[in-house]
Amino acid sequence: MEQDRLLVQQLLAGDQVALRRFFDEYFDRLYRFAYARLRGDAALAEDAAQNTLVRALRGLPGFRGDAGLFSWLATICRNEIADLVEKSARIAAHTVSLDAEGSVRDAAQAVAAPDSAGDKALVGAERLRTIRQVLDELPGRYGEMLELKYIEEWDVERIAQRVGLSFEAAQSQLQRARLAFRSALEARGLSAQDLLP
Amino acid sequence: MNASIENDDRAAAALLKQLKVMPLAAARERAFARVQEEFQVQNAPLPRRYVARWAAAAGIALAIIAGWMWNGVQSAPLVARVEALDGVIESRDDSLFSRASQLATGSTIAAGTDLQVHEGAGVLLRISPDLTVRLAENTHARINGVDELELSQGQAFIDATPGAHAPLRVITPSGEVTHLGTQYQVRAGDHEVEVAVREGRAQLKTADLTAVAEAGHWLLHRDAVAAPLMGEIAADDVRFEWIGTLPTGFKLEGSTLAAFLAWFHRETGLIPVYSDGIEAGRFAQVQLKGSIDDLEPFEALSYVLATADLAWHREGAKVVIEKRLAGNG
Repeated sequence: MEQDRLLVQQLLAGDQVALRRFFDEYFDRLYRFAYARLRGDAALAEDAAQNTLVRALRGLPGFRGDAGLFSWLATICRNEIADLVEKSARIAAHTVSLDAEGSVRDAAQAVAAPDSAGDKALVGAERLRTIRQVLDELPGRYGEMLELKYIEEWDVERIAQRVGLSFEAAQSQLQRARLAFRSALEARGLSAQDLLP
Repeated sequence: MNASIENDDRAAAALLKQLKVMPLAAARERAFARVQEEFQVQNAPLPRRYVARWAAAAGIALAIIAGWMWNGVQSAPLVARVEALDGVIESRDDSLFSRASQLATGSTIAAGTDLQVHEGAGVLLRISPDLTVRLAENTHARINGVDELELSQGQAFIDATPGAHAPLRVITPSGEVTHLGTQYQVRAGDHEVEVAVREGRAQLKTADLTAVAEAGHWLLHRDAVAAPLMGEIAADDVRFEWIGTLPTGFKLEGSTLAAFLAWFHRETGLIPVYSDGIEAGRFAQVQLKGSIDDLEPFEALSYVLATADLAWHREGAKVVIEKRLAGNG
């Protein structure tokens, strides 16, 4: 959290080096965040990640640091994705935002079945979407910590620093996060095997 | 690492690796160019004449505001710290020109601060080492000092360590509640106040009456009715359930199981007992490791007991601790 606040202060002061760090740290993560929600549409994921960072820069003075910077960016990104889904009929016909609600989601779910070539791709995209959804629904910081460990490949020490815990506490939380992840899969009647390619 | 932990580690790694998609280098560069462009717009200097005018105007305004606010600021001592919260809690201090802001964990609260706890939210405030106050959703309260809380609407749960000198008056529109070392809840409704005592005793004083509620009892006073209503309430009554979502902190690393269970009892009102066949003395001194940050009391209990190869089940107001059987969650 302290690191986040410091980075935001540097950005507000117009520090170019901080901008590069901000972009390098968050663009790929936001891209992946959006990619799984847009069923693997790389172009849209790129737009969502880019627009998120642009909007974040405009809203930086309002960042209070109550939650982590990535949590704040993810909230903006969700809105971006919802906007993209709403604005484009093409997107609505082929994607479902995890966060889309009501008519948008209903419309997206009501689309005709894709052809067989698309069907194969959908299986892979659906798998990613399910994993992402399970990850996002984990309580507290579990999702973020698993993401940092297994997707961003951070070591425990770096994760501990990021979330403001001791090394031991971070290890314990990671262990509980893995357990929660397995339980969440089981609650959906799934095992890890079902979601492997 | 045991086999189960290793399996979870491998499974998480295999599944989450699939989410590691990377944008193309060209896409990254395009995006960075756009972000940089925005950054430059944000940081472009204002034309000089406007800067000078704004600076002068801002300087004058700040001087006036600082002068007006000085008395209010210096006379508002800090009286509480936010130990845990859930959802949105708005605070507004009583200084001139104060604006509503959202509370954050770890922030401090000055005397005279108004708190509005929104729907689905809750907050745990520590006033002293021996005194905490939890505010439930849809509550409006004002902290006047370390010994006075005004509860105009909603519910507050007060936890004062028995025997410690931690006085607190809870003032509601219908009456005032005081205590001697206790855990109790006050609900301020429309023209009524209810006190539910989990431990110790609490006294309710209104314009017309003074009544005492003992542990395990509730007391309801309605402005329009002379005599208060009274009844019994169990420590695990559903009306206390919200408290478990805002646990006080407990440092697990290096603590004993006995100390952890004492904390659990205080948080939930439930009594932990060992089942037959467990050497209570031996387990009570088991040294614990790890952390229960962010866990609610029951989650923490499951986690802690599992590390000592124990499990638990509920029997009324008791939590029975037993040996973990194979396949026992």
